[in-house]
Amino acid sequence: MEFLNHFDNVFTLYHVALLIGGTLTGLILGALPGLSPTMAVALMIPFTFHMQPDSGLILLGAMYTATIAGGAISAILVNVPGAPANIATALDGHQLAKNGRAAEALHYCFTSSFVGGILGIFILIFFTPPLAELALKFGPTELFWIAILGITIIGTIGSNSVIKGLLAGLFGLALSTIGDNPMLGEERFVFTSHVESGIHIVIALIGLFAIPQVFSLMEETAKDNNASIHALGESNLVKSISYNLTRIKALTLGSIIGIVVGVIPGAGGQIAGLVAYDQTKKTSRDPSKFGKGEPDGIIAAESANNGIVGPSLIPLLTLSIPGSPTAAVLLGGLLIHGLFPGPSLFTDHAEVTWTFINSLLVAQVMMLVIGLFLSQHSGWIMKVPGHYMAAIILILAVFGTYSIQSSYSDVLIMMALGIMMYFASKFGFGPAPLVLGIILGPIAEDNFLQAKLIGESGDGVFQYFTSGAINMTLIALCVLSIAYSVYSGKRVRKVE
Amino acid sequence: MRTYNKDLWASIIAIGVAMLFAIASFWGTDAEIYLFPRIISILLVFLALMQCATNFTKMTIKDENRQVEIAWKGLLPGLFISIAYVLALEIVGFYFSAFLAFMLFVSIYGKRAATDVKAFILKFIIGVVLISVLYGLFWHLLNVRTPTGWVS
Repeated sequence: MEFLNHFDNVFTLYHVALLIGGTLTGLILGALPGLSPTMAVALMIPFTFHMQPDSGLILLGAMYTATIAGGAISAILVNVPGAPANIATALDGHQLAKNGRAAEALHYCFTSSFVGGILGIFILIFFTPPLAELALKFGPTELFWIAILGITIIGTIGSNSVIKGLLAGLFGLALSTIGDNPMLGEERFVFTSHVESGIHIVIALIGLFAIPQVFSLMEETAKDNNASIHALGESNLVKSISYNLTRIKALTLGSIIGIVVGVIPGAGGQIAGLVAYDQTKKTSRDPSKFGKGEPDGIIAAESANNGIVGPSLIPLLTLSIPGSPTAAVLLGGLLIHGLFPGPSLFTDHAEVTWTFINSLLVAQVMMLVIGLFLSQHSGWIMKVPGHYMAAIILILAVFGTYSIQSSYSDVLIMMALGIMMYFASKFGFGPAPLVLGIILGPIAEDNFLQAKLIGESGDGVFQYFTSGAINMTLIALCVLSIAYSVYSGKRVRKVE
Repeated sequence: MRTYNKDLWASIIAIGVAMLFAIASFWGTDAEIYLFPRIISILLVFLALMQCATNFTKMTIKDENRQVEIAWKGLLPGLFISIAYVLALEIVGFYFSAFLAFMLFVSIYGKRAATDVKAFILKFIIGVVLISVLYGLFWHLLNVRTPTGWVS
């Protein structure tokens, strides 16, 4: 119960203000159609750069929690999910909105998000410290394989094409080698003075996640896609919450599925929401009601997609393997504040780590309160024109990037990466594996070179890299994740 | 709006990037310093060839999912403004260039005619408020000293 000793740091005036600000901003950004939670968190990282680690992580945690729940607002009101995690919410949520019950649907959404989210954070609290102990047994080879496993998982399970996912991850690793060699300090690939000090993680995060959205918004604006917004309608808040809490089966199914899917690296909220929706529909007494405005559909989907918030951080905080693209961005946030995943988080940095985890619990409460308030007034959020959002994101990305190292070169790198990612994403390459390659690249190379030196002075390099139960398990997991993705890809094509 | 074959272009990009990285890693470089990049480049080339082979085997299959559209007409003005904005930052100054970029964006992509005075004033006010907020946040709160350019 160590987490109980660290609540006082969460409830300082400054941290509560950060929690409120982060939650409100997250809900609004999440609700804007076309803006992903990952981009919202990435765009916020430069602001945390100037804060103390605990304050910065509190802000990022609040944003992470709120953006996913916020995505349900646009899913319900305009049938455009704010994030992929809200696809299942739109199925019944938008039908309720069409029937003039949008406010009621939003009440269900925030209440069930809160229940799923709280359960998920408790799983994070109780399972992370013992699992982090496991990382104590890791030497250079194990850490190298862990980095490779992280890229393999997010590049395969999280991507539509295994080859494209792995190519993106490897390209990220390649980009991470620009700059100084970690052992000898010699420069590599410095073809222009702009890349002398390599590519900073945060600059890559902003460029790869924010800039492609700017261009997508421009394309969408030019297409003139106008979705109609449904009126919120009247709803009794207390009645909606009481009804929601009586839907035990949908809440339990959603939360459990969210927690299980959340722990699996790379699976993400979209899978959790859809699986929970599907299972609740299958076990319902009247499945024909689903898709026509059935509250259980929203409850299951939202408790599942918010249920992943906590569990998706378990592999991240213990083994530096993010459970979702947004968690990959959070990994970047941890690293820039000098926090490296593993047991040291709960020993050397216990105060910061527990403050961060506890703040996630409080952020769930904030998300519920602010979300329910916002649901009464959320119609205006949908009316923000796409080109205004594009202009504001671009300007924020430029200012945020410059503020990190006061370097104009960083702005040029960020823009170049962003334009490249926009076109690459058109042809099926995702930003998540690329970012993870850049983040985990230095970890992989450092440990690879260390292990090579140890191997050369012992039984041989190959022997050193492949000996021991942990190494073999990690190698097997890398192969398994690729094999599973190839198999499931073939199955999907067969069904189609 | 132009349509492109997703897998074909993905193969071209993959081969191009992989070859470029392989050449940069192996051409006149020290093996010890470039060991890790060389391993990555070999894997990149191998996967790029696999991507090409996959594309080759699917070439005769007609599938709408393999097509991707790029609305150049909508994209190009924004792309041009973004690049010009970033290139002009140091010369024009961060805040002034941001204001100009914002005004250009909302005027070009806005639905109202450019001659609509009421709409222009509204955009102008929003632009001034946005830049003032950014100035307060970055210059005063975060103490970030951005190049002032012409404005100084």
